[in-house]
Amino acid sequence: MARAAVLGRLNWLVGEVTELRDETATARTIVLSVPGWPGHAPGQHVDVRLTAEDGYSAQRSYSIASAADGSRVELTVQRLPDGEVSPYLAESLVVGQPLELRGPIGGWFVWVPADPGPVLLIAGGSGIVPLMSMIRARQQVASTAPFRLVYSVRGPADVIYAAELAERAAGCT
Amino acid sequence: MPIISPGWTGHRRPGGEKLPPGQYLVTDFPVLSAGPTPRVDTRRWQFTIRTESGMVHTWDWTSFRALPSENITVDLHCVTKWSKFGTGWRGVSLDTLLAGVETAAEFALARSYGGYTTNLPLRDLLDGQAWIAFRYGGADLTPEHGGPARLLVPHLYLWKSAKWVTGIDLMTKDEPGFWEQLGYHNYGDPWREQRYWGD
Repeated sequence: MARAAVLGRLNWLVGEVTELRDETATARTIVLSVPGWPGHAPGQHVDVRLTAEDGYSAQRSYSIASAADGSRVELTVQRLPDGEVSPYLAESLVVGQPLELRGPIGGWFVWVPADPGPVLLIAGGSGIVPLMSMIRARQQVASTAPFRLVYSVRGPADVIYAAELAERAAGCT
Repeated sequence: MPIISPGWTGHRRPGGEKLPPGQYLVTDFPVLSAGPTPRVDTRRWQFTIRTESGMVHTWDWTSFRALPSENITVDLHCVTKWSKFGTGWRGVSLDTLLAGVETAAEFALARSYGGYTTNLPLRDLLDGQAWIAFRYGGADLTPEHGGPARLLVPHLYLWKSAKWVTGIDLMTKDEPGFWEQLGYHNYGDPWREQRYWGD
């Protein structure tokens, strides 16, 4: 892991939801198009802000699931039963809706694609999300750094990215 | 103008006026660390204040614990958005530790076992605003929460309250610490929501 500092001021940006993908019964991937997105390192996160009609607002941090890809940013959100923000993101959000976010944030828990060293990724539940960004970035840059993923879940139905992980594991040599 | 999220109302909880902007209340005590948790034996523990002229003041655990200490009840605010009200600590005031220290410095850099650093203006360590805390919730401070002793500066975001603290350097020039170099605000006032660079 290495440093990739956030440079300059982190302004609030407005993304548009372009796609919603259910990963499990309680986790959903939100694909956003974010004009002005500066790009990110795999492992970084964003702050998302919701605002009610009377001006009340709440913010939460969510990991980025995608590798850097222009203005496209994917978040995967696990719904907490009595959460304030996650149920709305995982259930009520619709395609075409604007969403406020700022980032990327956090330059410590990141993978540097130029680093050829072996990587052991260990995740529990939705903790897979930032690691998935690293796995996807590794493929994107055709890195040959050895990656191993240890992923713990409560049950088979709780595996986020199950199909993609199975496919990638099958492709491993 | 903020973007309205149609149909979203949020949870307005009692005590909301005690929450800085963008924060939410928790009742547990989340643990976030940038690296492994150092295990520091109090028999080897040291705390050092080093001034800008190179003068060094050092306490071992015995001499540190012989200093007058006090009970502290404060609200905590973490930059990752959680806040926790009414946490109970015991610690030695930085006023006590700095009483015999001659300095014209305006800045401080806290140093921890494990290599973590965080910077703050020296004046934010004075006048009953900061402690080296060694007990939490009536028990010795556990390594997960920064034990045997951590800095406690509750009026700033919690990353300033360095866990496993082992020293403070007093400096005439400001020097950004670990998270401050990585995009987090140099000062970190929760009430002004100074989370990141430029806030």
